[in-house]
Amino acid sequence: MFDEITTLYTTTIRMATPILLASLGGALTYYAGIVNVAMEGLMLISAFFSVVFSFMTGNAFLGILGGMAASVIFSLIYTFFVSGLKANNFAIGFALNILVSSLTIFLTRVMFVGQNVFNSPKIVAIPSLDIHTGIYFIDNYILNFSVLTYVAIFLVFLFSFIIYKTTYGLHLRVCGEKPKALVAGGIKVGYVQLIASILCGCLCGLAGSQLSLYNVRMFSRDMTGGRGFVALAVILIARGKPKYMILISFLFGFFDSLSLKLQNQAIPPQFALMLPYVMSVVVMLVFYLKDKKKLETV
Amino acid sequence: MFSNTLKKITIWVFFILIILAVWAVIIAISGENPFSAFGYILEGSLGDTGYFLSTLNKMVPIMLTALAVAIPSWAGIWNIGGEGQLLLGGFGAALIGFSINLGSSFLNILFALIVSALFGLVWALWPGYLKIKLNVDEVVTTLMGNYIASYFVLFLINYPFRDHSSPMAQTKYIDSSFQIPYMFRGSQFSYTFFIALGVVFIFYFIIRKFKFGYEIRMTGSNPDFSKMSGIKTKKIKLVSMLMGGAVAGLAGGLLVLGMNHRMMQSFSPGFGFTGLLVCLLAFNNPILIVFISFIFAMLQTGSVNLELFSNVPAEISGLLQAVMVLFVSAFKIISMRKGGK
Repeated sequence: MFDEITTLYTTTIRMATPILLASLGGALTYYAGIVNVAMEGLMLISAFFSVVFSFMTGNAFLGILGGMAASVIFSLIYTFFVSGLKANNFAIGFALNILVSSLTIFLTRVMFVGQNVFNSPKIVAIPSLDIHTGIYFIDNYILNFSVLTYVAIFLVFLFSFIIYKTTYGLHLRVCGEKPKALVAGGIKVGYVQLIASILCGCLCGLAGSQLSLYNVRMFSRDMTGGRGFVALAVILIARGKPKYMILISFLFGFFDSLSLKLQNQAIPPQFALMLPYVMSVVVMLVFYLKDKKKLETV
Repeated sequence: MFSNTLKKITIWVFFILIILAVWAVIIAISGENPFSAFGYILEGSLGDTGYFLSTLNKMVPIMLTALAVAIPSWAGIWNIGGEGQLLLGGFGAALIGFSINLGSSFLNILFALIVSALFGLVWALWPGYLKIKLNVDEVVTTLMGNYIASYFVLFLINYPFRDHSSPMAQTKYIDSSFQIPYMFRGSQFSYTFFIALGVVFIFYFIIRKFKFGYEIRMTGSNPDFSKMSGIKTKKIKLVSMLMGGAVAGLAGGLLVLGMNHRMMQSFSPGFGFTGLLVCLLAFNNPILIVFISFIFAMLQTGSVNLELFSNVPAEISGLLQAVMVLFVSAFKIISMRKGGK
């Protein structure tokens, strides 16, 4: 019983990490005035190239860097269209997501003829923290998660600081709400959006690496499974506030974890698989209902 | 005036050449001679009557799922849920097809198609309603809806409606009186193609000629003006979303009645998303949707042939399609700016 709770908890942390990382990245472009629907594709391209680079170099760190680089490139393409050309962000975002989905499966099948999975013992996974104190609670509940989990939690604090305490953060917040004020202050909207999109690319890159080099150790077709949009839901619910995003990411991580657990139970597995998606809609609904009440009382 | 049109045509021919060049580069990178690859694609999609008919067949779900994005998009609301609506519509048609019989084949087919449209409609109802009531982002809800619908249909065909005589997860065959007949021997081409084409043209006329179509377009292009002129924009948005869902559901119904004759696992290789790309490329224009669906269907049937004769996997079709969307979006914006000056 106790072990089961521990498993549920550790899986929650494992599954929440990519959602948290991606939603932090997407929050930056959200502040900069771009509702980022390309996160799904950014995570997927990184998941693929993380595996490729880890496979080729035998080094998980270089795998992460490779995935991040790929994700930043696609994030720049997205920003070029949306910020540079003023194209519709939904249209370009979905075109990019579908592009990445086809590109990754295409490359997988070029490298491994006839297969939909990139799997090899040569792929090196991201290490866990691996510190043992001998105290059960500390070892299992605080230490020994993916290195990227700690990076993600550190980044929550770093981003809160950047968004609320730095000049760039101020520009960022003004950029989305009153772009004209920014222009009047002599700052280019495009520049603020560019920085946000590079950072978003890096973070979605980390999210993809966590998926393909830690949660599992392989790449499979469309393995992000809508998590980019779950991250978008997190941003919309939390209105981009990092401290709320961490809580909601862990909530969605818990539903993922519960789904994995229920897949081995007596109920049809389809209902377990469906659970995270149903819950993300339900959670959105609850928060929007709450907001509506607030609006009515004001 | 004439020189202006000529200029436009020249620019677009130039754009098409650029896209072909980019396609050629992608094919060359994957290790195949681009000219022979284009040859295989053309041969596999238009090479003989059989190939040509299967290309037209492929157009049916692509055209309709594109329309399912376009109709709500006219009113300024996104329907990314075409995939889920198509799957539920397909199941709805199959359910009617193996469980009841109204006596005449015409009535049977009509009823099954109506039910498939209704199933799709229901799956567009809740995201549309949440959008207009609570302003819940419809991109997220319709997308989540795809996953939910897809797992739900998998449950239905794995458990309550599974054909136990088959080793695969699929339903029983529909009764032969529900099948939309094939038109030629040796080809799955049926009247479904003309039904789909008809639906696209009906919506083309609704949007151009009817007051309702005008209201949809005004809601999308100028919501403030629409509200002031007394158009119920929320209602229009919801109705356009429902129509989108119904059309995607109908696509699933036509696939079951005209081709597969049952609901099965991997029923759709992502038609909903191909349709989304088509709609983006066609800028919501129904006539262009037909035209681009044809090109995309060609790429899809042709790339199967390409895979047979070379080392290039058929997945290349998705890649070529998405690249085309990005380039055309850029071209359109650039040429509009030039035109403005």
